[in-house]
Amino acid sequence: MKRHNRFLSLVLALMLAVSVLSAMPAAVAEGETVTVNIAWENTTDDAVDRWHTYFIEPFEAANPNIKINFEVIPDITTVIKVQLAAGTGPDVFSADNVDIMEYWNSGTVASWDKYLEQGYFADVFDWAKDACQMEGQLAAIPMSYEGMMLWYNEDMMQQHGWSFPTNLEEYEQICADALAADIVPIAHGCNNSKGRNAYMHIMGDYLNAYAGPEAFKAWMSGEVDYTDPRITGAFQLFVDHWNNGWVNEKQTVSLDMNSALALWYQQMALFQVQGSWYVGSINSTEIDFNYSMGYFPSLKEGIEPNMNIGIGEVVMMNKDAAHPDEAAMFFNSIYTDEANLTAAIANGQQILSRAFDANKLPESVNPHIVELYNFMSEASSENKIGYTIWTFVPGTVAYSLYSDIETVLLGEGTLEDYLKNLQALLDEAIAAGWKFAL
Amino acid sequence: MAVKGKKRRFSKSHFYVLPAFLLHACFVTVPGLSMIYFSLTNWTGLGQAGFIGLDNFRRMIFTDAIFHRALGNNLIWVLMMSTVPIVISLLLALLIVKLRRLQMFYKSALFIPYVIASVVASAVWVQMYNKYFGFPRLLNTMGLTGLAAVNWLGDPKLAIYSVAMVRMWSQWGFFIVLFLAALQQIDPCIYESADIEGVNAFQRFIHITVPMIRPTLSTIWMLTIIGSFLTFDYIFAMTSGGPGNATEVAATWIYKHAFQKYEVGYAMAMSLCVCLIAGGAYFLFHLVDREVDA
Repeated sequence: MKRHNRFLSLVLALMLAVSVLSAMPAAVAEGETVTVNIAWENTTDDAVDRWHTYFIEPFEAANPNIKINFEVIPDITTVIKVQLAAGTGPDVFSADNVDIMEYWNSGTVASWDKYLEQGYFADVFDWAKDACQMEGQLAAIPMSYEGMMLWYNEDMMQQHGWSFPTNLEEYEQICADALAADIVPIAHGCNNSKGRNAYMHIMGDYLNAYAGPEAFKAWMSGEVDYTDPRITGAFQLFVDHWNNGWVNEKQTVSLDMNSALALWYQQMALFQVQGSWYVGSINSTEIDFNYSMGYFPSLKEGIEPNMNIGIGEVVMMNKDAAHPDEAAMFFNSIYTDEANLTAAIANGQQILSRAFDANKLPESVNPHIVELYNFMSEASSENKIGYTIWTFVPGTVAYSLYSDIETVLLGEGTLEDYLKNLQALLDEAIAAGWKFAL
Repeated sequence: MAVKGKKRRFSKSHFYVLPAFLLHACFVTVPGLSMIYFSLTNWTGLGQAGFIGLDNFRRMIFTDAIFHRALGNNLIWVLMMSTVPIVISLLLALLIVKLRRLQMFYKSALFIPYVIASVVASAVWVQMYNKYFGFPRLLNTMGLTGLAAVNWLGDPKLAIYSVAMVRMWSQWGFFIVLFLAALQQIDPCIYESADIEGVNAFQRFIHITVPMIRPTLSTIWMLTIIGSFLTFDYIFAMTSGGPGNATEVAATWIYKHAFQKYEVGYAMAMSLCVCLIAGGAYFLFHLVDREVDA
């Protein structure tokens, strides 16, 4: 029995030793292959395939000693925070623009400045780089360039003799007519943990279309506060229109975005509010009606219709990254490899935060994708741009903006209290060093 | 000699428990105790934690109206879960235990919801509640337009009950199986003698059935009460605490602060509070249970 116990103790001790030793990283000898670990936010299988086909495999072929380990992590924000807090984590990871300040202030991420000095990311839009600055340093690399547009069912418009609205009166009339015809005016769902931030999409449109980009910027820069009638008016108008049933018949609180989009695909809704990320769906979803897009209509006289611009995801570097130089090289290659980038975009990848000529796309590309990128180019060149909430608003303000609006919509709180709270958070963020990017 | 032998047995049994104890200490006890420290800080989940004393607790008790509402929702959840599914499952068990044929079929059919993952069940029920594609559409075609117009997940007054219904649906199969096992343990002779004495069905249920299945009933109640303070999955998957904060419970509010708002210190303070409440509820239940037993 004694011998049996000793044997058992030995086995247990050996098992413990093996598990501890296997967790220790092996040193990389010179000339050996290095593996860059990249963690990416949850995305579709198509998107992952595009990453591999157009970015990872070409890069690995050109750099045989560098391997890219691209891992998609659902709920990446939660996982990465825990990993960084534990001093581990991937070399680089995707994050939302609104999270840059928190990561930077925690001291767990590194600056990309030394790579800018080496000439990397030279083509990235200056405004996009500015939106990723913290304390004068580039805290993150902006990736997808996003623009907001209002999509509409062309066949439905024609059938009912409607035309695309360009001002408040036309917009209100068409929404009322659609509702009267038992058609959901705007398909929009905001119920689920991720999808609640879909309020940012449509509320950003209201802010830029009513208050206007200049007032938006003035508010975010601290030059005016929430009591400015342009700001209050924009929010009040959204609440009024929601209460009229124009925003998915008040079902935003119970429908998620996929269920809301199903209404559009089933031709039960006239409009839907989506950004340029919709290219992914254009390629992968069979839509059997004619549709197009336009500027969200002007909601106040004197404010021109505009396209809100912003950055989708950004890439941040772990300050303890094992292979930062190789990681920077990889992301720079995504920006500079024109052929593969164009091919990826032709297959549904979002454009990056750099200039892109849609005329380079092959003729076989879905015409709606070409239309979308031409629309974005036109908006940029004619300076008909506004600002998205997720790029040009501090993270804490953005979070409160989309998560607390339902208390106002459902009559459980007042708009005054809601805006007062946003203002307090904005003042805090500005005092802590947050700056409007442009 | 006997004392020495007893000592040897004592150290051997502890040795075998040691690995499990170490794992528990590493992943449960130590993090649990560190929660006390972090609840006194303004830790964002990243970087260093700054000590702020009792500020988090002051905020929780005096300022955070949504946390108070969340605790209220937990109480509603406790009351619902400790009554409705238990009553329904006991009644169904009483019916099924009498069946000679198809008992296994009914047991299995009613148990199926329990084995469906909570997130999957939630996703299905969100679609079932969908005004355009779910059963409201069916109600509409049946002419029940009033009922069809009900916004099950979007009405702040109804949403928590709509989500609770899904949780109950998933749970009562499990309770039925437990109650069936307990009912089948009761010696039929007791019922026969009761019949001879002229006892009616209600008296038989109150004076024989319930006392005989009391240990099972106590266990189910205890698990339900503690579980209700920790409820998270169905609510988060179906409503995320919305509409507004109508279905917010302690766990969802804690999650949002910890993982979405970068307020881990405050989330820890709330977690500590919920731990104490759940622990208090358990001890109270244990006391009452012991009194009834006595």
